[in-house]
Amino acid sequence: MSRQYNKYNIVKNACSFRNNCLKVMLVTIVSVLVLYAAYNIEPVVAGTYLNSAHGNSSYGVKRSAAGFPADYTKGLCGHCHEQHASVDGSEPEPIEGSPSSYGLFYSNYLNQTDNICFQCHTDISSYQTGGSLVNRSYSFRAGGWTVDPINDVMEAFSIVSPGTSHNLDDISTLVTSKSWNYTSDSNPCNACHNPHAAQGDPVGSPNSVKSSGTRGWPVSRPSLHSKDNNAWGLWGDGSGEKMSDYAGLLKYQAPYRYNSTTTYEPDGSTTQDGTNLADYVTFCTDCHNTTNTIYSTTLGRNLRTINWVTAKHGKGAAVLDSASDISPPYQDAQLGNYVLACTDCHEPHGSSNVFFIRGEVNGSVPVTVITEAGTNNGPIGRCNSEWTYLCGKCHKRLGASDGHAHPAYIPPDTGGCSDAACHSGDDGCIYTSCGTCHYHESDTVFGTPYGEKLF
Amino acid sequence: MIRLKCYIFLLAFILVLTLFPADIPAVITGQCSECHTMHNSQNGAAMVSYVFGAETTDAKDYLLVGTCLGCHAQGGPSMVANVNGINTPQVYHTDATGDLAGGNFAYILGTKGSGASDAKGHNVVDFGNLEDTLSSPPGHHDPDGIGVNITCAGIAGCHGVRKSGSGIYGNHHRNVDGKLTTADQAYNSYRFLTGVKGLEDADWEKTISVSDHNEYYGANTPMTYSGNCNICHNPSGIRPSNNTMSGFCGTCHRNFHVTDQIGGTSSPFTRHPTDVILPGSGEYASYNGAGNPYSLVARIARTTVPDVPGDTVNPGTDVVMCLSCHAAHATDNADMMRWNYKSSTLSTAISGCNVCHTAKN
Repeated sequence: MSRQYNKYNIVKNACSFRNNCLKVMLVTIVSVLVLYAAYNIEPVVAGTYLNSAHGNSSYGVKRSAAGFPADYTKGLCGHCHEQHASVDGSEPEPIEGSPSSYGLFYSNYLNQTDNICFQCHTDISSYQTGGSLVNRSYSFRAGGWTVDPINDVMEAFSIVSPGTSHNLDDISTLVTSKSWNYTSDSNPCNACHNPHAAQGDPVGSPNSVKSSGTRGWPVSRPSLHSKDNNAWGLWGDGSGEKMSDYAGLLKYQAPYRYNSTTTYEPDGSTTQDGTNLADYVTFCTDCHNTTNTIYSTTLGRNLRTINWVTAKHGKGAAVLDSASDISPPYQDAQLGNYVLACTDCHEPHGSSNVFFIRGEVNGSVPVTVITEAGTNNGPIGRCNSEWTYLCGKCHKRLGASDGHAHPAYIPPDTGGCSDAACHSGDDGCIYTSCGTCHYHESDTVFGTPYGEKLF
Repeated sequence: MIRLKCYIFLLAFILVLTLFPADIPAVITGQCSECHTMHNSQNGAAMVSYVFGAETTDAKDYLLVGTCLGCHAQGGPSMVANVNGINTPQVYHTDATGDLAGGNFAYILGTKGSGASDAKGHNVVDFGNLEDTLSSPPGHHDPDGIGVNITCAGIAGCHGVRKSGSGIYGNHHRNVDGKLTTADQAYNSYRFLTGVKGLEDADWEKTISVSDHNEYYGANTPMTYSGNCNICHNPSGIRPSNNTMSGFCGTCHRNFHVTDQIGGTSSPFTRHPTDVILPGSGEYASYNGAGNPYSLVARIARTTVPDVPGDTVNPGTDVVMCLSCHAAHATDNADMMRWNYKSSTLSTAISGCNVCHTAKN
């Protein structure tokens, strides 16, 4: 009887609890609806900003600075935008003495190493809570090369000779010359990144390698730039925006991950066809195409134009010949079908190599390329052959000791290797780099038409 | 016969007046004694009975029976109180059903809401609460001579004539309600805010909806200072020369308003602009969702004072203003925000921003 009573009570209490819960839920729902109706509030739906790296409530932007409210929640607009350049009557740090454009807490852009972005995107004295914001290189995140010492964005953009960084002034010059809605007030970082949309890749783990379950999409196409966040979306996240889409009937082959022959870039999965990689060719060729004349302050000359439709490493015809002997995962039998992505060889921000060539390519290191072209000596231990550090990651037998599958007779030379302009020295160390002839859009050898594309 | 003529004249006068209702001041009516006392004494007792806190019942200026706060800040349970038979809007109360348009100073003192905080409103000195953070109005120029000793009216206040020795004197008698488009005196200005045009809601927004609210006046360009003190300093008192609500706020918070300090008249602004048109394109075109219903959270001003409250907003025409984000007196949110910008829930914290910045959600 007692047990029955207890059971009855338990059931009764459970019912009562359930009823109370239902009542609470109903009251809550009704209250919310009444509030929405009364104040005419549109329910907030997590959109582009709340899904971005800056606007995420768990790992988004959170400024820590003297004079700045410590209780602003992560992702709040106020972390970047000061509505009045004043909090509690004073300007919070960093103090520049006058308000900045777009209400930003710091000048939108000053120079290559000084702008609003780098106030947080640095591993030293970052205004992001914690004081250090690590962002890894593409070789680290996509390539899995976790020993790459470059660990923040400001550092990547601070690299100078012999390494290189994407020149922000030059970017600014180009994008403002186009009808892409950039102005002299724009930050060149925004040429590639929409700060209200860009996602971490990997999401929320800037010090980790990418995985298929942590993918984000960090870039937006400069040619589609708009101050309207609805209009300027991410690139690579949607259908038709992957490297597989760009390749079409041709073939994108993902490079190996570092030290692996079973996993592939960019996310360490077994996917190899570019369905998991943003179409970086379309993205990069918004600027680096056949029509834009881009002066490089770093090089002191205009950059080479790029036509990836006709380039051998792009969609152009490539033939299987005696020099063709490529490394896996690429296959000789597929030559002519491959279409590479820009990020297969280049870092986006900067690297210790010229042309921000990656430090790790196709699963291995080193890649040390510090000379564009000429007869300079190459790196120690690899006499006069530094570009082969890069090219050799995919093309076999580029060294003399490897049998040198490179054609011996290259017009206009007729005497073979030893008396050609390529290797005129007698110590075997005179260096004519791969880049002397094999650069973007090249079809000449020392000024003489070769008859086909050489890159 | 003379008496008959007098009656006829009086009747005709009243009829004429009724033909022009908008020009008729809704003057104070009723017995003088409802507001005034001749000797502050009746049977030996003080007649001054509407005081706040430590204010005394000593005789008051203009023979009034109370003070500003005594009548308008009674701390009672209703946002509109009956004061000697007169419905009197309350700026300090505990009414759980809401607040009037300006907000509620009770949030500063903590007698309503989530706890006391100086940051929740204009810390009017008459309430007796010391301002612990600020030393002068943020964004104000120096020398100001105001410090933080702001009061309800007069040289250091908002209402009435903002001139030394002046204040609200006489304006209740001549008050013009409703649509205020003259705004050259305190009594014919919006809520006695001298120089400000607007449309006053009849019950101070005790009842409120998208079609029942104040309408604020705005301009398509903020005032420009450029060393011209006359944009605010008028021989008859401080007032905004552009007659806007935001211009009025700018008389104390100048740097937050004038073109010289906000980055000009178009994007990129260096401070959030006021008295600029809410763009009719991009994300702003979707102000508050489909159909652009008037938002009571992120309000807008009109460049023409309307006859009746509008229930929609017209991006490309209507104006961003200080009161788009802030309430005038106080709210339960930091910085007098209309929504909880400091909410720990991000979507809530930016919910007001998203009314205009619709693509930043």
